[in-house]
Amino acid sequence: MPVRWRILSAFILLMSVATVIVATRLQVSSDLSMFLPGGASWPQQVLVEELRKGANGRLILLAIEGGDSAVRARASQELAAALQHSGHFVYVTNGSGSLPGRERSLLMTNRYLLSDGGSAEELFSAAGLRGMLEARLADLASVAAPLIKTYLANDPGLAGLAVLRQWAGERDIRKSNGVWVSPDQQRALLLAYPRSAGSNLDEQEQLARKIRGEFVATAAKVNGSSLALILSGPAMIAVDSRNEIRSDAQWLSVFASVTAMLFLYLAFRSWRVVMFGILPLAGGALAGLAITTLVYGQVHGIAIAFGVTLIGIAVDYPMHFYSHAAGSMGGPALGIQRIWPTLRLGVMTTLVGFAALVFAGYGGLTQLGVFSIAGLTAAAAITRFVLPILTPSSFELPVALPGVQQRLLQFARFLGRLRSVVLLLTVAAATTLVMIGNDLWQTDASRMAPLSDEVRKRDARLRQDLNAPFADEMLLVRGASAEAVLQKLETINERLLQLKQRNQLQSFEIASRYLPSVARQQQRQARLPTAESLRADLSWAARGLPFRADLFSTFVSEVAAARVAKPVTLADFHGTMLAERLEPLLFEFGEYWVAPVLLYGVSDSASLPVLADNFGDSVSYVHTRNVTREMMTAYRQHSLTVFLYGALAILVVLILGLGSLKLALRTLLVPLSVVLLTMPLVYVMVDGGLGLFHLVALLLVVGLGIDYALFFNRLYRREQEWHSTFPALWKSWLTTVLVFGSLALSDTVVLQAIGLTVSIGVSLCFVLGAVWMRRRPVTIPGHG
Amino acid sequence: MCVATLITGLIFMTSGKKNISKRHAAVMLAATLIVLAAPGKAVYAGLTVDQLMQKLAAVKSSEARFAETRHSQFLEKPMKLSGKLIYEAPDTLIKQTTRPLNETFTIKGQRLVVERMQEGKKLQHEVGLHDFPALAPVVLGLRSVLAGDLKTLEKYYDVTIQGSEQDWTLRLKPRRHGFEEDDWLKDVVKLVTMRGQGVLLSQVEIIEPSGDKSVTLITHPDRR
Repeated sequence: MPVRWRILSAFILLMSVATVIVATRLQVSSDLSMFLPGGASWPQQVLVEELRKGANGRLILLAIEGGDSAVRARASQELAAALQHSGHFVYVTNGSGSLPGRERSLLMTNRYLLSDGGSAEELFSAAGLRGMLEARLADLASVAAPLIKTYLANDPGLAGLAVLRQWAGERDIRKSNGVWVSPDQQRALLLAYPRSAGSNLDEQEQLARKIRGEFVATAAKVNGSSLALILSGPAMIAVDSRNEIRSDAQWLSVFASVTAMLFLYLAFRSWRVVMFGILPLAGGALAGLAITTLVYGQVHGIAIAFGVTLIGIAVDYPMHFYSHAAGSMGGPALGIQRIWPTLRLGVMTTLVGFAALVFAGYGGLTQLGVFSIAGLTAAAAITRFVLPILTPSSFELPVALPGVQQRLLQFARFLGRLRSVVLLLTVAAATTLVMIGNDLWQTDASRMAPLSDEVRKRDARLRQDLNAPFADEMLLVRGASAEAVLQKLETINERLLQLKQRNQLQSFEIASRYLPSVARQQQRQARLPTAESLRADLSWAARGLPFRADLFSTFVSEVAAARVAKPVTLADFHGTMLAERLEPLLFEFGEYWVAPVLLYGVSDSASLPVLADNFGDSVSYVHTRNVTREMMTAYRQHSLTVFLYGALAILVVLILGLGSLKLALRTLLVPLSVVLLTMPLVYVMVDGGLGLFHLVALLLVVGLGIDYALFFNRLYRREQEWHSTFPALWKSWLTTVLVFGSLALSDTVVLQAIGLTVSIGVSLCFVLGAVWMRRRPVTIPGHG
Repeated sequence: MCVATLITGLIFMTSGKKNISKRHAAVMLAATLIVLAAPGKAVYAGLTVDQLMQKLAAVKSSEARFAETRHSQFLEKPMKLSGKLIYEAPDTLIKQTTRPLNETFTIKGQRLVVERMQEGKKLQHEVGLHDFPALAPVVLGLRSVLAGDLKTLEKYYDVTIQGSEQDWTLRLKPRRHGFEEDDWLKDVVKLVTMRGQGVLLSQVEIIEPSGDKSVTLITHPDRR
């Protein structure tokens, strides 16, 4: 038959094209920030940007365990050197590192501008100089003498050391054998700051592999066969959890496929169904991938995973087709014609629902929408046009699993009597939902990528050991230029020092600590003496002291040079190791310059918003958790609104398709009550509320609910449907439960969330479909 | 040079509040401990390091005066320091400088305390030895000398002895480990030479890699 061959060759051609597109063009992105909501206020936007690229998320914490302390120390040194040498890191430090020459000379050359420590006014008075020289002489007599010797001649005021002290920060980590160790001395500790942003998981995974590779080489080099490496930090944790999800997903999908295929064989007794039944889903996934690739170039891994989940609804399509395709019922061509109106309406409503995702407006979710729309359209088309021509007209369906069929028939009939009970339950569920209120939803952003307690604890312990706390609270300072922001920071710095003195704040990290404003640097320059006056004052000050006569000539010329030097700006730090400390603390953001002031150990949170308010709109106090909570709430409300519009659109499609408002409402009753019942059930089974994964799963459940309602209503029309549509329904239901139930077995929270929600949801779809279906005036036949 | 080390040193030096330099402390400790491992009566012949260690270990407590001459590249004439050295078994050692400044440096177990009079105020800083890993082996190594533990001493120094029991000279040279990061000791000290008679130390000479040199003469007033 020519039409048949034309369709088949068109199908094969399209699938080949899709395969070529996917094989040659697809780039899977793993940038998690694509799924982060965009912020509304400027502090929110800055925070999102921070999550995307920020220093907090980038830092890698390393610990070396096992062996003895000397071997660990040697391994720590070797590993730090190897990693630093690899070029992937801005810096790697284990407590023993030294400041490279370029950075050191930048700080030393500009010491009189960068620090007040050695250039205070009184220091350069004759009396001040005398005091300074006497102090250095005392130092030479002290046990601390050797340290001073490097600085004594060129920098007797120790201004350079004051700058270094500013940069050294407040990290105070125990050392053993010259390297950082944990307080119990059982682990050697390192910090690594990679060049690549933390949110690109592929790059982070390569880094993790690189680090582990270097560690193996290191361990071999120092004969430390019993050494073990621990990697932590946000990016490393994300890589681990992704790998865990991947490996779980791999074995579970094999397990689920085998189970589903066995079940399909049991249910249809036909290898043809088992073989070709997968075509709509597989073809849909391929088409979805190809179209998304064409539209976006890069497709996010999560969009693919969720997309395949969403088009899981296409598993049902071949069930419906094959159940109606038996030769005795008129053959495949007639079979597909009979169910097509119902199937088409189901597909249309689902597509409208997915379209809501496209308009949800966030990068990742839009891709998910495009993927599932393309995928589902392809799956429906394959069911409609390809499956019939792959099915011979002699195709027959034996009565499979007659016992199951019989019992389910009775069950369905029994369910029809339970309307009032179900209605009560649904109302109760709705009331429960109202009572749970906002707690229903996850607000903790960290749960978006849920981690095991063990991983959390390990990270917390390393952070504590390394004195690298995560700043939950910060002030965000905004200004028209870097200079304006720095001047503002200098004022804020004073206030924060007061808070610190009153023990309301443990410590804080602020850009002006490292880089003073140009204005302040110029003030300092104005206080520096000329060479002549300094030389004169020095020779007066040194009278009677045993210092060599010409000892301080470099000091004099360097002070004189600093007096007329160009003030230091952010640009001078660019490309140095120091920039990595400074640049996250002061950066250009849109048309503004922004500086986060990280606050640690805040004991009086009330004083900080007050402090921020004094500066009007340009300073904002931010509690990361609160802001992410606000953002998640806004994100969710936006999504819910979009879903609501989606539901309205679905209603319109249903009214048009069914030709009756009443029928349309009745059809919507199934997914509505299913969702109302599923949400509290899932809520009690999970920890911390419903998240994005549950929402995606619920979206699939809504689609399933509509399909089940539509097909259950077919049973009303003709007696015959009980022999074709009803088996298709229960077989679809059990297949879906088998596939998604396997996912629910996973320890991985994402897979579990989806598996659990869909299994519960689809079961309720079947049950409530039976409950709410229109009753036949005639008796239901006893068997199929 | 390691920033953190600089800083910790700096803090003490500028504010008098925090810590001391590990390098100098190491040198001083080396000197002080050996100086103090002194009292006793017996005089030996054909002395080996082992024998000397054994005898020194028997000493339970001692007190001596020191007069130190520091030659520095920065000064036109050497600087003279003097004060008292006190040792108490098992692990307390105090260097009390009284001239030209008042500074007390106390090592007790794992603790290390520097007290200094500055502008009429007494500034004190205490650190654990673990904060100064460079110090730890010196202190532990020399404490091992007092305990007669030559094995630990030799972990850090090449130890040689010359002369007789009546007048011996002990030379400590930082040991090379092959790993650069383990050779920190040679950045701190080039050579420590000690002279003694019997179990009494009379002179300690420390030569630093920079060429700066310190010669300490020790007198034991109650023994002579």
